[in-house]
Amino acid sequence: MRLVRLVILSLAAFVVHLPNVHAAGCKAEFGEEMKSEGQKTGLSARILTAPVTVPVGQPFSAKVVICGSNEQAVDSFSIDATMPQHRHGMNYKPSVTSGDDRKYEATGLFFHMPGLWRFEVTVQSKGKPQRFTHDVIAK
Amino acid sequence: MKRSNALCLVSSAALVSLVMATPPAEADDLLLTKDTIEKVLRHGPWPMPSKPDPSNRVSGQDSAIELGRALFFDKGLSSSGTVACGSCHQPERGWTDGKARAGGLARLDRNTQSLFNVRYNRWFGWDGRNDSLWGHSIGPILDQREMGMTGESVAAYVRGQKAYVQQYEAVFQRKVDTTPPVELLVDLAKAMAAFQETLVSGRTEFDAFRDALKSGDRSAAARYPKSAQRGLQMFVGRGKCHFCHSGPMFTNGEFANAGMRYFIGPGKVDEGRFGGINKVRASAFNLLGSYNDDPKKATAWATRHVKQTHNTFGEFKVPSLRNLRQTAPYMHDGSLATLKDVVNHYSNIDLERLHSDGERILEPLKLSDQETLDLVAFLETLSRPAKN
Repeated sequence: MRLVRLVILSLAAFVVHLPNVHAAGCKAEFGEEMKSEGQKTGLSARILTAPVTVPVGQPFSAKVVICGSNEQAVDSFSIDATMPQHRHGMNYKPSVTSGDDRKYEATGLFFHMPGLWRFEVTVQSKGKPQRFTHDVIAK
Repeated sequence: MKRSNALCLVSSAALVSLVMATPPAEADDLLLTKDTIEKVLRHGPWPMPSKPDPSNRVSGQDSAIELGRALFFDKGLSSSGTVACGSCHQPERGWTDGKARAGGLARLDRNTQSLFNVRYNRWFGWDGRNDSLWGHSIGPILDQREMGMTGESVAAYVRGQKAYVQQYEAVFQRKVDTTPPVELLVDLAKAMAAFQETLVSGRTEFDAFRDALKSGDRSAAARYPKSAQRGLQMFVGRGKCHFCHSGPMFTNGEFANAGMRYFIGPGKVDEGRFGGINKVRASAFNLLGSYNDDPKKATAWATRHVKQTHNTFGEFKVPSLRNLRQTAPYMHDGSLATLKDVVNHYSNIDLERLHSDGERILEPLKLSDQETLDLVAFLETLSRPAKN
């Protein structure tokens, strides 16, 4: 019985010290997971646009949450979007505000053409850049 | 055979021949694929819903519209007394002037844009130098090549016109005599904008076709000319025209390099959108400024976020394709006389004129004569009134 109690206490201690890999917003219910590109830093990203179906010819906003262990601070964050097949980006530069838990909100996003658009998020963590992408079809 | 029977036979034959001459449209006459129909539906409905401009406190007000209409056609608002807004934006010419390049007190470098549906714009002018219709209405009045006035001369003229004094004070609830000239100018421009907001064009043959597709009435849709259907297929297909000419207005409201020349004289270049972004940012009358009547500045998002890059040099506004038959000649410099000329321009576009790192949308289509006629046939249905 004492052994069982010891095991339970040890497990509880482990859980308490487990790195927080699921900050609020990192759950699967929040938007879409972005694809990690290039150098891996152990971070991941999810994106949720408002409206969820991105319109053509209407300004919209997007929330992005960066997920990872508590030790991995995000030093900088930027977001853009391009049409890879047409070799151009947006005609507007979004404004970004940051909140708690590595959450960011971009406003002033605008897709001026129908077709495939690629969101591109770049973060810096401990001096390393990490790029995330997410493709959407705007109609 | 009795005479009555003979007459009956002749009548019947005539009726049969009439029916044969104008056969009812069959659903089989509908040439478009399901994918094309899905794209076509995005070009409607028409007219688009509209609401008052929050940056203009008199937008949509009848009395302001009437004042704006009077000012719009008043040549007294030019330094020579010979030019009004309506001199170049003529209602009988689709609110343009039919000339290659505009001319007020002097000749200008660009074509007069139609005012049809101008209320739906996000940017105004070929270079988007203004972000509101009222802001854009100030420019020609003060431009020395167009109407050649100043804020002071406009104020002096209006203060001397009893009818304007009464109308202004009724609309804006402030005294003409004590209103500073620059504020009076802005108010008058807002009245003129209220008038221009009423210039919405009617439903077209294309709109009837589009709505028939939307409601699933394939027989009605099949009445749309086959040539126009083929042209439309090209427009949203191989031609890729709909990437820029999108939505019910057939424009995305943005700017593009269409391979047109931008040298306008020895050593003189039309900067296009590059200059337009610099101008709108510097304008005291932009939506970020104090003349915006909307405390939330809700419509100022575009000015706040617009991005300047070297690629904007030589870009010009993507025009709406509605009412094209009334608004020749075409392009920002009015250098193409007919719709066929425009189609041929894109069919044989000179890629050397585009930015080397520019978009990959435009490429020479090398259209056949029939394909060119089909595309023109489609474009013309954006001008012809709907029959129902």
